[in-house]
Amino acid sequence: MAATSTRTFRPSAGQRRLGAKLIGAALSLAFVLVFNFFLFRVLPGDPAKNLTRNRLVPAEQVEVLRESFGLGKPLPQQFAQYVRDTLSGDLGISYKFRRPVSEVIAERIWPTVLLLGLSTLLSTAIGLWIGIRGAWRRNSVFDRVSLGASLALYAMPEFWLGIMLLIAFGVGVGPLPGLFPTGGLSSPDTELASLAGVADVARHLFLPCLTLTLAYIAEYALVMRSSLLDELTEDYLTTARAKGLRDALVLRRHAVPNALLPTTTLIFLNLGFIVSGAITIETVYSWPGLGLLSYEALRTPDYPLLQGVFLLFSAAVIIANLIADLLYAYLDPRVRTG
Amino acid sequence: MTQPTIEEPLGGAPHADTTVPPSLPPQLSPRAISRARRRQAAARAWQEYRRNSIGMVGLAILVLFVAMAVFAPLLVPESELDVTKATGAPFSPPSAEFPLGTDESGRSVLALTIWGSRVSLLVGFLASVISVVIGSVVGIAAGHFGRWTDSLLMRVTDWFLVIPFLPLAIVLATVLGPSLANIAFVIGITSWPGTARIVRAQALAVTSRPYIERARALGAGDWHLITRHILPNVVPLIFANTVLIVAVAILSETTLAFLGLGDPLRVSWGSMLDAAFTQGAASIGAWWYLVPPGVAILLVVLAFTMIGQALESVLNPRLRGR
Amino acid sequence: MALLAVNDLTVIYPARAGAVPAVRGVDLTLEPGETLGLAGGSGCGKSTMAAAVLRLLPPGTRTSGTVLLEGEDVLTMRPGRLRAVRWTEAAVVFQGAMHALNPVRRVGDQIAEAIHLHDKVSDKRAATRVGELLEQVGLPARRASSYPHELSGGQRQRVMIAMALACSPRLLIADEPTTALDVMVQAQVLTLLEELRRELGLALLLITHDLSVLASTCERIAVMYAGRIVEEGPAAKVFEAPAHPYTRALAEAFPTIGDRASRRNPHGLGGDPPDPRDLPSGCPFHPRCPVSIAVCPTLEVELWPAGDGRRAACVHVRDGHPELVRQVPPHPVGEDAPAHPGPEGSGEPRGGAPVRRGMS
Ligand SMILES: Nc1ncnc2c1ncn2[C@@H]1O[C@H](COP(=O)(O)OP(=O)(O)OP(=O)(O)O)[C@@H](O)[C@H]1O
Ligand SMILES: [Mg+2]
Repeated sequence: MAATSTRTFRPSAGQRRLGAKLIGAALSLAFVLVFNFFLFRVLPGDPAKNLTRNRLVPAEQVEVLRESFGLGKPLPQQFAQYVRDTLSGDLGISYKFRRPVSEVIAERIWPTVLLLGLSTLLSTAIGLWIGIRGAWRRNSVFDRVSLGASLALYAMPEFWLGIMLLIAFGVGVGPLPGLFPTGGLSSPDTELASLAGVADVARHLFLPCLTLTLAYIAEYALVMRSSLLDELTEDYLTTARAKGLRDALVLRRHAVPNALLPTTTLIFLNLGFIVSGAITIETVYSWPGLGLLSYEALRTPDYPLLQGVFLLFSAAVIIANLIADLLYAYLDPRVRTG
Repeated sequence: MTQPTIEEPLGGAPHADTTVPPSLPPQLSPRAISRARRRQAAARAWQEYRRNSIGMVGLAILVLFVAMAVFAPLLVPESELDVTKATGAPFSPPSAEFPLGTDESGRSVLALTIWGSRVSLLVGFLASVISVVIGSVVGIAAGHFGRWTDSLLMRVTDWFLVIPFLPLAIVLATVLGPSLANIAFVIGITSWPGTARIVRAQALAVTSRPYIERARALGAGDWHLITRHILPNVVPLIFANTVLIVAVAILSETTLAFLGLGDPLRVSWGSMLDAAFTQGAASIGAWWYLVPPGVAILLVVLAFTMIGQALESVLNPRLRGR
Repeated sequence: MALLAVNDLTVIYPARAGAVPAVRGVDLTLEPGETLGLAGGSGCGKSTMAAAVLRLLPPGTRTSGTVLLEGEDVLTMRPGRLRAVRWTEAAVVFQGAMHALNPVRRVGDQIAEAIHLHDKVSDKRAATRVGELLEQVGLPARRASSYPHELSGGQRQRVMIAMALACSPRLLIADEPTTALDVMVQAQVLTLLEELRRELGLALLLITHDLSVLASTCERIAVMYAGRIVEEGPAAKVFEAPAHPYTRALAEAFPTIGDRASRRNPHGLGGDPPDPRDLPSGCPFHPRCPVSIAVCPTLEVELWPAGDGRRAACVHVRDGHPELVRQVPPHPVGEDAPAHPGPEGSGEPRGGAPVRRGMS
């Protein structure tokens, strides 16, 4: 690639593909902005009135709000203002919290990152392991049981699984007491920045994290299993065996790495699915993250907040997709140099 | 186009035979022949399907639930859903009178579950019809017309594909307001891109076949090509895909209803879970209110998944023996 | 002692729709340095034979008989011994080099992997050896850092050959090394194989469905049909004067380009290749045979001596009239394709050969 710098810039196939990906992601983000803008305008009623609904607000204050939304100006101008505001982080004022949406969101990001990060990590590791084992020992007891369990887990709404676990381990069944707290991030009177505080958060984290991990494991195990089964029919594995490689090595050196390529991308592409899980599971366990925030926003309904959260989720997923594409291109020489 | 996922067009479509089935009388119009050939292919597929035990179990479960939904008024009078006429005590555990206990207002959970199947299945079917129609139209148009139509449509498809489903559905459902039709619409409009991509891949494969070229050279118009050549080849695929979409749609309905976006006037499995949860059934350990709708969803979704996979293995010979 | 001695080998694949007897009682011997050609139509069990020599059969496959490689039976070997024997005593150039190489690893690494498995050598020594091997097959050593998709079909096939030579085996099995390549490249690859064989003193088992290729490269030819050997003998004799009607069809195969029937059935034979699950009774070739007689559907055929060190499994050979096989026009009555004269012992791979480039 360095060689091209001396001559006039001629993008290689790889660079051109990279450029296309970047433009694609930017377009998707732009679409989200436009979508959000128009959705906001088609809302029933006057946004300024909505904001002050059911509350006695002096007429001049409504006017101020109206001004701040840019209502009354022509649409293109409104749009320009909207884009400017959004890009500078101004997402409007939350109806419910009566504070800037960006502020409210910022407070809620970390619990979600903690919950999703941990459960994604766990479920990826366990799910891939199950998928690999199942495909390799296909039709074994392990394979049948894990496949059945994965399909069942896949078929149940994850929040229902969450409620079941909540009853079993949080509330307690019959004479058995609950082992874990039923909701929240921490107990009311613990100091978060202490060892006891960390342990307390971990106890609160356990059930939501377990639920999400179980829900995602199913997906990853199924994807990895079918991807590896596909790979196992490939001829080059026979070559590897013919060379005298042990079966375990054929699997570890050839089949699994190759099957992981499509799986890696799928894991990233799955972020949309992961986000959905966060909304319902945080609701079930009152985990004070963005998911619960969305739930609160839609129950109010708090449109600016809802749109802020939507914007953030969409942007996160679009960027994750972009990373997935780039990662794939980096990992797979057929894409990298082809 | 931009996704690294690999889409194999299915190879099991009935176009493959170029010979007329021997059992047909010779003096038939080409259309009659092709229709008969298609019918034979369908019959063959059914024979194949019947040998798939997983698919048959799924079909049995589904038939059971559909029967339950259709005959709900005969099983349980609708008046049992009326809160004002409820006879039981709130949150009473299963008993002889209420085999599955009661809800927060003393209604029979069994009655609710039976009636709930109607909305859950109906929304599932409606949403999949919307989704599959959009997906097929977009996929065929993109695959058949190619060029800028293709790039534009695939751009839009990609967008819908990357936008996280639930936040988008929530935003739409909140704006449109809660009703059965709106929920179906929201689910349909957010779940079509997968279908579009699969159909497009198959349409592309068909369009590049030499006989299409020949038909075009003989003056066949787009409409003719699409309805006579492409559609018959993508229909089996769309069929298998629809079944899987229904499963997703039912799960989506449940999730949206659980979040309070369902039709407030009708009972569905999702709205039962919503009510149970918001009324605190979980914290008082009223499992009998939460288990039946959840198990019903699980079974129905599992049934659709099983049927879908069986269909795929029947219609796509490449997967056979999996 | 023979390098490879296959005795009464039967291979039965497991399959949902019923077990597939792909090889049914085959005997073969190959002396050190000898070349044996194995010919036959699609699905007759050629690749299965190749796989059986290194016991590369899918799990659940049943085998009987023996495959003696340097005197040791491969089919009953302990797994550790089997892995040691693979690639050091016999190596395979697999059918379809596109798929036989790992698509996401550098070809040099794939060759080096074989070296490291069987020799305790440093990475550097292995890399040098990889370079030598590549140059030996006519590729520049720097090609080691290429990925398979960056190479042409012919180059990939050369890489496969280099890989097969990595552990200096005494037996090289080449399974249709030239299918899916265009004619020029086919000739180059064949020449390369021939040169390597002579230089390194390899024994070569060359598998193909193109009898003319075998006639020019091999000392002996064995022709397979429906999992059995139907004719065997010195290459030139078998090719020029077939003693089995199937060999004759193979020898005269000359598909007319653009003619659908001949493409589907390159040997100008009527009928379909047999389904190994449901073979015709008696001589399995009789339904397609232009010279079959009344006894064929019930006759248990075996390899009968046909003179000149040849054997063939045809009733006419048993009855001492091998010339009958060559008399009747090869095409069943009603087929309008004219009979093509066989090429006069030319060694060139012929243009218009059924270039199969299905693969992708
Ligand atoms: N893994 C398998 N399971 C079941 N049947 C198989 C398997 N592999 C091959 N067969 C069947 O065994 C028979 C012999 O196959 P084989 O690959 O040895 O044929 P071949 O002579 O190499 O054909 P070709 O010229 O097409 O390569 C065929 O009928 C084939 O369908
Ligand atoms: Mg073969």
